[in-house]
Amino acid sequence: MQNSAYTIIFSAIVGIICAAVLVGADMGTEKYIKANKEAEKDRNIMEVLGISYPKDATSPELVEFFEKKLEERSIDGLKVYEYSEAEDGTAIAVLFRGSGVWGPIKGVLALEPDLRTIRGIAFYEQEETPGLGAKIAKEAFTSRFKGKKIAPTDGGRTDAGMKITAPGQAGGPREVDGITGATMTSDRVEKMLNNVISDIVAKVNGNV
Amino acid sequence: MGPLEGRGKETLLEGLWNNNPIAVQVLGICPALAVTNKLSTSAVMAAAVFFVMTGTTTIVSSMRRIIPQRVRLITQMAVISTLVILVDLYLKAFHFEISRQLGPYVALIITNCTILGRAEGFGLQNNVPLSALDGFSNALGYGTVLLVLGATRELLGSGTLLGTTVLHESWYKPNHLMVLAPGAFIALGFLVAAYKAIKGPEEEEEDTP
Repeated sequence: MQNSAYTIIFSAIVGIICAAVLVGADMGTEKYIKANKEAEKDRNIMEVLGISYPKDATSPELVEFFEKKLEERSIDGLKVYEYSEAEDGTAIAVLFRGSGVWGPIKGVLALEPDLRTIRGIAFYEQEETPGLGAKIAKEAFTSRFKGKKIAPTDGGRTDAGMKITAPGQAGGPREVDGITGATMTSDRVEKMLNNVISDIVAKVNGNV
Repeated sequence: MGPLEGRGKETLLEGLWNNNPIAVQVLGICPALAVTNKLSTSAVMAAAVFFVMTGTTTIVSSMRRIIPQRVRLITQMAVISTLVILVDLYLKAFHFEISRQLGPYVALIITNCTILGRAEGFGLQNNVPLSALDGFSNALGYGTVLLVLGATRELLGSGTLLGTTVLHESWYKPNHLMVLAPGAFIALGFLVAAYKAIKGPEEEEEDTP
């Protein structure tokens, strides 16, 4: 019975059964997994915008809550989440991504209604060195951005961007202290931030 | 003779204590080290391994007479992978937060050599009830070590258990080393030493070829 034909047929049957089980499971869980991912993105955005949301809501509930509170707009291909219930106008949030030292870094940047001042920032996906670069995800680092400016305050559109300086060196309104021992991560974060900032300045300003 | 062939108790004790996959064989320590910095992740990992290991030994054992010799490893891997992906999908769909904390380590159960070892070494040679019991006891032994490691590391490393503060910071300074990877090795070393101390001196070891 242990001939090649039997082996081949046996393998094929095992393969088909396993594949069928997995396809079934995938179809059954797909909508939940999608809702979870969506909810996570929504949660990150609301977190940086400082919107309080029901903590124990299920994913679909959270997505619904998010859609009620915020409006998603696409400006020249840049997705902008607008929150019009902020104290003095419409605050916005923009997702950004870039490459870190070990893997991609993804984050959210939120701006005050003046579109110049940072309301909050979060790096929700990163694989930087634990204990060093990974500190970018910590509140201690992200809170340094609060209130900083992304462009000159006189309204100039050129020369937008910020600087992540050596630790303890930040002084100006557009400078943020980097992380000790994580110069490479700091440099990359600066680069991806400036990418999204120039995008925002070019597309959103004067367009909202 | 019943379906367990009178070897039930022996099989149960083997995986749980006498031949514990981590403490004695030091197998499958990649997840044992990676996810045990918190009790909650350790518990979920233990449960996942429990499901996969018991399922694998049972399924492989029930197929033991029809698996062609030449593809038996691949067949076992297919069974393991399928079960692991099922667990992964389940966690992603219904326990998203915990699945995010575990990161890639759920999927990496596939490479946990303990599971393949039990399927290959035991499931292929023994009947279904006995193999199921073997998977059960090994998973339980594995999971127990994970829980002990998780509890120790969370307690010493963060001063908490399941997120609740136990050792207050006013008098206990959390030792962050225990949360990081080197702490895992140190904790595991002490655990194996403690195990050996309790178990007593080794009997005559077989000569390893």
